[in-house]
Amino acid sequence: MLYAYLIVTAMAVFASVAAVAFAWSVVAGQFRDLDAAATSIFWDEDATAEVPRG
Amino acid sequence: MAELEHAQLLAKLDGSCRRPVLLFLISAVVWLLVGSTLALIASIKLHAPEFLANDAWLTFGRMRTAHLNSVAYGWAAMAAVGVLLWLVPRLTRAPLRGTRLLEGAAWAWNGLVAAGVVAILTGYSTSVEWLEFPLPIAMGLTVCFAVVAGAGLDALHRRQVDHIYVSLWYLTAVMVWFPVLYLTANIGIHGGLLSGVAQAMTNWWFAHNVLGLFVTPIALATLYYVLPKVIGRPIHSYYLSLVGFWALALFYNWAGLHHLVGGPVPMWAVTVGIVASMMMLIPVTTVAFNQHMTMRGHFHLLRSSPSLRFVVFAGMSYAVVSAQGSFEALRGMSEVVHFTQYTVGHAHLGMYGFFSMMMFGGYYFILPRLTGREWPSATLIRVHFWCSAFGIAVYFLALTAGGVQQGLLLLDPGVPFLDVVQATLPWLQARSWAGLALTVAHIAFAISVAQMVLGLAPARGTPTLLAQRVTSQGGAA
Amino acid sequence: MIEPRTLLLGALATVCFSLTGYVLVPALGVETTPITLENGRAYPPVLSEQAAQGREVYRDLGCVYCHSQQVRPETFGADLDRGWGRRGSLPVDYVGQQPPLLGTMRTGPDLADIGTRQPSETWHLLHLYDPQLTSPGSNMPPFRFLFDEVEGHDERALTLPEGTVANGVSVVPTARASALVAYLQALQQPPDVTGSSDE
Ligand code: HEC
Repeated sequence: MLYAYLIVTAMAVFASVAAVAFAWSVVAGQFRDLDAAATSIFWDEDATAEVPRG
Repeated sequence: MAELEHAQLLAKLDGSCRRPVLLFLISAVVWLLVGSTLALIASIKLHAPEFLANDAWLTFGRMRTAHLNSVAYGWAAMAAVGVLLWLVPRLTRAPLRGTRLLEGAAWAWNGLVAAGVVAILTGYSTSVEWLEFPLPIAMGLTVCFAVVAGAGLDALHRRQVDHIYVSLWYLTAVMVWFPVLYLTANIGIHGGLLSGVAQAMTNWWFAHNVLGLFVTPIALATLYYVLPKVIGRPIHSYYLSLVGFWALALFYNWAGLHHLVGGPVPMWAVTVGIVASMMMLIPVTTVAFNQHMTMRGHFHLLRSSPSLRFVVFAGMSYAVVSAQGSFEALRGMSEVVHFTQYTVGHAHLGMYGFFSMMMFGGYYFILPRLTGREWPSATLIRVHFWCSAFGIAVYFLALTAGGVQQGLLLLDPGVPFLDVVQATLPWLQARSWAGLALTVAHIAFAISVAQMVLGLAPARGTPTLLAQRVTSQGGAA
Repeated sequence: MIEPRTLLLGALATVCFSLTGYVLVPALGVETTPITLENGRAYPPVLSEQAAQGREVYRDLGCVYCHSQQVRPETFGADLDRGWGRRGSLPVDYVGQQPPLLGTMRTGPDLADIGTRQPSETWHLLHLYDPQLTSPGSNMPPFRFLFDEVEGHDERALTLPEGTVANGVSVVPTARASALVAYLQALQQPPDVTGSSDE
């Protein structure tokens, strides 16, 4: 069972870090993040081809 | 950058990957048809044991295994690689190199899967689940995948972008994960290094991770690409997708041992498997939340975009199947449903409702761009979508209900085993009908794909479903 | 933003982490050598040559996709009450098995201790030839191709109900059928083996 505790602890540490980082992003107003990365896929100009425009 | 430059770059990127991607995608469809046929035969056998019972190669144990391997390594893996090779140049803006080598890998891949399926049918299966191909075939597939990963990482290295888009994280990780998993498992298990319970543990470490760290990331890469592209709007929370990625990387790795709950394996391993399975709720929630928030207010677009239909259906299945899987891992739940048809229903919701539907969405998006043709028929698209959606829904519901019943009966020692068998038969029959619907869907899909690649479909203009919708609305107005 | 190097190393680290836990630790830590029982015998016993061949038949026909070979412990499920075993299975039961045929489906009953439950060769042969003869309503497939039909009388012939085969024809098990039955008879998990599954 020792292994189980070790492994689960390692996971828990990661999960807490992730949770804190996420909470921070909400506070920092990044929750709705429209930065360059998210829009970078639109460079090739053929977005929305299959749906009515406008 | 000027429009013209974009167009030129795009032509260069698509040109660099066109042949290998088409080869992988077309081969995958052929394997899908082969796999569906084998599946139907195996399924019918479970409620009509006299069906095709006179030859060893047609026996259930071989048909079922040939089905699994042809859809896993033929359909799923080849579709996944095709989509990966198409996404990588788009996301890195670097053309693929080694096109010839990639084409060779695609042909070799086909040959190896064919050899593997024949090996299973003729009695050379290893009977190690998800690793039934004999060692030399597995080694061959590893080499093919190494070529694919090499080309992908090479393009990543030459990338012309500042940001690595989330889809590319998933694809990059897959290029590392799959070789590590596949090589370790094959050499450890078939290379004679592991035996007994240690081998069983490695088996489920692999078999679960090949879903979580190979097919799932490629499907999610497709979701995060196609969804925003079709609706013309970035994903709701880019940051959240980062959390989801690392959570998946960490937790999925440890989930596999829930397949051995109640079995003769060290308790700690099963406990970790269960904990990790529950933790998977985190990455799954991030994906589900992101998909829903991105789609919000855009659901009407499902009517005109086939890509979107399949991708959204797949994303929803992902949320359902993953949540189901987390709870299925719990001891109490496992006690009832492990060893029953319930697990088969769950596996198909994952590999079909989620993964295959996502790949279909990818095909609907990619093929017009690679072949320069539109999908030939709105009717075929509808038949494909509705037969798949209906088929997998019936499949899942039948085996889920039947599996719970089977599990409860098995827990009651007063019920003779043959009565348990009888109770499952109607559900197994329903499953064969569902399988028939799925096969019809695949035939419709294959006809469409064949027309596109043979140049029989209309040249690019307004996409098929959209065009039909616009005309019908125009008529009404 | 995230660098590819971070990504690649991170991906590699996560998979190596689980590889260590689920592959290396068990490979080094789970029992891999037979134990000596109180009566002085080694356990698990080595399969006879014929039974070992039968195991290969079991493997190549895919019996594992309908039959598990793992008895659940007393506190979990109803295996013991169903008479599928005399105790829960232990890691030591699988020592040396390549592959261990633990299975994940119970379309048919668990077979870990079938040799104890059903020792009869005649029963197994009849059942393999046509499960409906012994277990009406079963959805186990018939394995008739493991038998030869020969003209005239043969002393190894199965005793089949009237009309199953043409008059004057005998149904005789092939070497593969006999080997498979020898394997099934050898599948036993004796109760006097103890050990903890939490090592
Ligand atoms: C399609 C699933 C299926 C496959 C494949 C299958 N079986 Fe079965 N098996 C069953 C079912 C259902 C039963 C219970 C009814 C019966 O006795 O036939 C059963 C019962 C048995 C029993 C009797 C168990 C008992 O508790 O009495 C044995 C022995 C057996 N099978 C051996 C085999 C062997 C050996 C193979 C491979 C050659 C095999 N089975 C393949 C479904 C299957």
